[in-house]
Amino acid sequence: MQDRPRLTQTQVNEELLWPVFSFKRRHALAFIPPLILLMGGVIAVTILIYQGLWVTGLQRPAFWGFFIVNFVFWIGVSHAGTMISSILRLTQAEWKRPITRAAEVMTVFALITSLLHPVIHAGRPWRIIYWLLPYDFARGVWPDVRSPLVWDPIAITTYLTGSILFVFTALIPDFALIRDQSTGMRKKIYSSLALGWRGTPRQWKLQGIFGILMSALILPVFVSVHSIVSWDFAVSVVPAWHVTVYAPYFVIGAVHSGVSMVLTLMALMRWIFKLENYIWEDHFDAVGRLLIFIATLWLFFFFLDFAFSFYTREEQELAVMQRRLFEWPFNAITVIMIMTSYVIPIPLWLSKRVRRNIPLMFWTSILVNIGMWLERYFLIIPAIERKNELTFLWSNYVPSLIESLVVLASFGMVALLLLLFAKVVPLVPAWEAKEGIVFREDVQIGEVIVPGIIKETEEDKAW
Amino acid sequence: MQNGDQEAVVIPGPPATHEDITEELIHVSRQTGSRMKKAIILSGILSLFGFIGIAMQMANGIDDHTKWNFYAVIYFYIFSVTMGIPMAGIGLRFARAQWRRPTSRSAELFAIAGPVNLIFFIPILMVAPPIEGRNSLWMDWALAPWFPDIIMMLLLVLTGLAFLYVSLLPDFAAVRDHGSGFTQRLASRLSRGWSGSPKEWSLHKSALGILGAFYITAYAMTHLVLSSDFAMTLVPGWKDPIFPAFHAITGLQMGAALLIVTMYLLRRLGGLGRYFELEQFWGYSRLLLALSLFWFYFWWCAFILFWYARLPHEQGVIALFVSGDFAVENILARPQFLMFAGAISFSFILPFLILMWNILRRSIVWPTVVGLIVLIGGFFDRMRLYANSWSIDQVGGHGLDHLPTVNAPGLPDLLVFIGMVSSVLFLYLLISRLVGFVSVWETREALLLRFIKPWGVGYAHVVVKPE
Amino acid sequence: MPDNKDILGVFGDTETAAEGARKLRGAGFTNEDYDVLTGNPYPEGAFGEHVKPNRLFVFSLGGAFIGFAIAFLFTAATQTAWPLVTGGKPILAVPAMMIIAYEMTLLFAMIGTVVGVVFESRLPRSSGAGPVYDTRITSGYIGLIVTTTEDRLSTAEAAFKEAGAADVVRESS
Repeated sequence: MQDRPRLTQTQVNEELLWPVFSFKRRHALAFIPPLILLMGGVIAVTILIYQGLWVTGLQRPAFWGFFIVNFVFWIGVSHAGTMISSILRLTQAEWKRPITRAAEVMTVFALITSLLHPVIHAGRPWRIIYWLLPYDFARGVWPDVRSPLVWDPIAITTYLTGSILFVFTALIPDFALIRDQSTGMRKKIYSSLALGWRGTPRQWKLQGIFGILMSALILPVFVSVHSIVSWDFAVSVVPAWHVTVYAPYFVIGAVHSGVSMVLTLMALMRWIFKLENYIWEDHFDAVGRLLIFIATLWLFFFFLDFAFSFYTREEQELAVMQRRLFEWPFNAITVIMIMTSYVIPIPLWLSKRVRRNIPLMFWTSILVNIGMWLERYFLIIPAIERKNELTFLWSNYVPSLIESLVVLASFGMVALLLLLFAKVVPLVPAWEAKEGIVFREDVQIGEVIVPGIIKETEEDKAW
Repeated sequence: MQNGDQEAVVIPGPPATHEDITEELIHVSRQTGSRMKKAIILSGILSLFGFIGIAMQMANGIDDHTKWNFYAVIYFYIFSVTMGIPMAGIGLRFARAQWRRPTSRSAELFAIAGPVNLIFFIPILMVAPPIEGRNSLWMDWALAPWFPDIIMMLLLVLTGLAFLYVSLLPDFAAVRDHGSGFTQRLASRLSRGWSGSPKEWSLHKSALGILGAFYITAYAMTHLVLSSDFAMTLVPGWKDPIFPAFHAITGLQMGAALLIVTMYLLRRLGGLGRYFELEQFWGYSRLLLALSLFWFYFWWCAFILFWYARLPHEQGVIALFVSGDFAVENILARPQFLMFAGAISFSFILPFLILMWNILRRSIVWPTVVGLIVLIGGFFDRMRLYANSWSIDQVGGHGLDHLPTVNAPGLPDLLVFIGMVSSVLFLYLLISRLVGFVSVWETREALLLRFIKPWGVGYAHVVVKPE
Repeated sequence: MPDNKDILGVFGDTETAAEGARKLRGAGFTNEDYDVLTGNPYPEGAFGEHVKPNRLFVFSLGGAFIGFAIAFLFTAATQTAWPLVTGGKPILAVPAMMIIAYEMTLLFAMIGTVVGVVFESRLPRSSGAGPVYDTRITSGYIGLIVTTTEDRLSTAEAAFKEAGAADVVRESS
C-alpha cells in the first residue's frame, strides 16, 4: 500500500461535489458521445415502430436476436452493483469505498435500459399498455405463473426496486451534505430529499446495519435474477439450451461482465471527474484480483457446458455445438469470445504491474465486455436458428442496422444516465470517503508505516 | 468523576505475547498425554478394520457393482468431507480473511487424508462398471475411466500434501529451534535449513499462492471426473452439467462443517480456547450458511429444469434422486424420497433456519451443532446419490426403465466406514504431534497486525491489513 | 415536566470533541443527556455517547411475511381461477410458486428494511435538520448537542467553551 496523503473534509467536499455545483467543460463534453449514440437509437426505434418488425433480421424460428442478447447482457452488467457493493460490504473490504455508489447506480440504469428491450421488441409497444390497463379480469385470464416469462418480470422488478431503495437510502447523508452546502431552491430540494438527516450516532449505526442487512437481502435476489433469465432458455427443450448449468453459468458470466464494466467506469470516473485522490491504483489492483477468480470460475462453468454437450452424443445437441465451433460466423465469434473474455485479459491481470496500470485495465475491461456480449450471442442464436427438426423451418439470422443502432444506443443511454446522475449527487459517496479517512490509523512496524483501520473503540475504564 | 486526562486512559495489552505462543503452541499443544496416546493407538487399530471390510466385500465378488453401493456411499462421503477442508483454508487465505489464521493449520492438516482416499479408491476403480454402452465424458476411450480418474486423484492428493509441506516449513523450523527429542530431530530434517530471511518468506508466499490455486483447480476437476464417472454414467438418461459443481460445493460445505466441529473439540479437549475464539466460529458459521444456501441453489438448478420440461428420461432421474416411485401412493414409503428428505433437511433447511439468526451465528455452540447437522445431511446426500445410482444394473438406454431396489448396507460397509474414519483420525493426530494444531508463524504474524491506540474518550483497536 | 431545550457545541476535531464530552461528564451530564452530530460515521462510542437498541429486524421480518403471503395468495388464486394444465405441470405448481414466493418475500423484506431504517432513524423530520444545527458539521466539524432544562444550558455552554469549542449554537426562543 502506498503512502496516501490525508485529505481534509473540506477538500473532500470540494473535490467530490464540484460536478453538482458547477458544470465544467470536461463534464459537458463527456455528454456528447452518449447523446450521439442515443440519437441513433431513437431514430432506429422510430423507424421500427413506423415500419414494423420486418426492419429487423428476425424471422421464424429465430424470433430472439440482438434485442434479447442485449437484454441479457445489460441484466448481466447490472449484477456488478450487487457484487461490488453487497459482497464487499459483507466482507468489510476497505477498497469498496469509492465504487459502491457508482456500481449500485449502474445496476439501476442497466436494469432500466434492459427493461426497454422487451418493450422495443414488441414492435407495437403501446399494445402492452392496452392489454394491461385496464386489466381484463372478466374473462379470468391470468398470467401463467408457471412460466419463466412471468418469473422474469417479478425477479427484475424485485431487483430494480431493491437497488433503487439501496441507492436512495445510502444517499441520504450525501443529500444532507449538499443541503448544508447549498442556498436557495437547491437547498429546499435537497432538504426534502435528506428527510431531516442530522448525523446522530443512531442514524449512522442504522446506516451501517442497513448496509449489511440490505446486502444480505439483495444477494439472494442477485443470484435469482440472472438464474431466472437463464431459465428462459434452459427450461425449454431446445437442444443445447436445455442444460442444467445455465443458471450459475449466466450468473457468473454476469458478474464477470459487470465487474469489468465497473473497472471501465472507475477509469472513466477518475478521468472525467478528476478523482485521483479517491480512486487509486490499489482499487484497480483489487478489482483485477477479484476478476481473475471470477473469470476462472466462468471458464469452469463454460467448460462444464462444453464438455457435457458431448456427453450423451445426442445428434441435435452435437449439431448445434458443431455450428458454434466450426461454422461461420459462429466459429469466429467463439474464438473472439474466448480470447477477449479470458485468454488475453487474465494472463495480463496476473501481473501486478498490469493491474496497477489504469489505461491497460481500462482497455482489457472493454475487451472482456466485447467477449461477454458475444458469449450471449454464442449461446442464443445458433440454437434457436435450428430449434426445430424440420429443415424448412431453419433460418439464418442476420442482424440489421436498426438492431445494431439500438444496441449501441443502449450503451449511450447508460452512460448518459450516469452523467446526469453525477450532476445531481456525488458519484463517490462523500460520507464513505470521509469515514475511510477517520477510521484510518497509520501504524509503524519497524521502519515501515502501514495503513490500519480502526475496528472498534472502547471507553476508558476510568470513565 | 475523573478529569479525563489522556494519560489516565488504561490501554489493555495484546491478546498473546511471543513467549505465550512458543509455550502454548510448541510445547503444550504438542505434548502427548495419556488421552492422546490412547486416541492414537485406538484409531490406529480401528484403521485396520477398513482393510478387513474391503477383504470381506471382495470375497462377495467384484463383478456386481450393485453390491458395492454402500462402499461407494462411504468412500465418496469421506472423500468429499476430507478433501474439502483444505479448500476452506486455502479459499479464505486468498480472500485475505485475517480471522482464519488460527484455524488454517487444523484445516490444512486434513490434506494428510489424501493417501487414505487414494488407497480406498482402488476398489472403486476395480468394481465400477466399464463405460461401454453408457454415456460418459470419455467418448469410449479404452483407458477411461480408471486412467484419467487415478491421475486426477493423484494430482489432488499430491498438491494437497505439497501445500501442507510448504505451509509447515516455518513451523518445522520453530520446532527445530524450541522442541526436543525425536520430533525435534525429524522437524530439523524437514525444515531444510529454513532461516526466515525475507527472500525465503517471499518465495514461501508465492509457493502457497501457486499451490493453492493448483489445489482449487485440481479439486474442481477431480470432483468433475469422479462424480460423472461414478454416479452420472451409471444412470441412463441423466445428463446434468451442474452435478459436478454440486458435488464440489457440497464437499466444501461438509468440509467447513467438519472443520467447525474440529475447532470445537480442539477448544474443549485441546485447551486451545485462546486461538479458537468467537471470531473464528462466527466467520465459519457465515461460510457454512452461504454454502448451505449453495447446496439448495445447485440442487434446484437441476431440479427446476427436469421438473419443468417433463422429458421422460429426466422424470426417471427425479424419481431416482428426489421423489421416489410415483406409483407408490404413500410418499413416506418411498426410500428415495426419505433419503432426499434427510439430505435436504439436514444440509439446507435446518442449517438455514438456525444460521439465519445473527445471534446464533455469533456463538460457539450453535455453529458446532449446525456442523454436526450438516455432516449428517452430507451422509444422507451421498447415500441418495450413490446408493441409488450404484444399484442400477441397466446399461444404456434413453432413460431408466425402472427404479432399482437398493441393497442395504452390511457388516463390511460398517467396517470400511470405521476403518476410513479411523485412518484419517490416526494420521491427523500423528502429524499433530509433530507440528501442533495451530500455525506458529501465522499466529506470530497476526500479532503484528493488531494495535491498541488512545482514541476519542478511550482507545481504539486498530487492525493492519497487509498486502 | 419542564421544557427541555437544545444547545449545540461545535468542535473542530476529534480531540477537542472528546474533551468536550469529558467536560460535560465532569459537569454532571450523563450520556443520555447529550448526542453527537457528525458528517460521517465515527467508531461507536467514540465520544461516550449511548445509542438505544433498535428494532429494525421487526420491519424486515414483517415485510418478509407480508411478501410471502401476497405471493402465495396471488399464485394460488390465479392458478386455481384459471386451471389450465400447461406442459403437463400440475394446477398448483409448487416449484413455480416457490420461485415467486422467494422473490416477493425478499422484495417486501427489503421494502420493510428501508421503511424501518427511515423510521428508526427518526426520519423524516418536518423541521429538516432543525434549528439547533451547524452546516459545518458536514465539513468535518463534530457537534455535541445537549438536551436539558433551561437553567442548565449555561453549564453546558461553559463546558463547551472550556473544552475549546469553535462555536456554541442555542435554540432561539
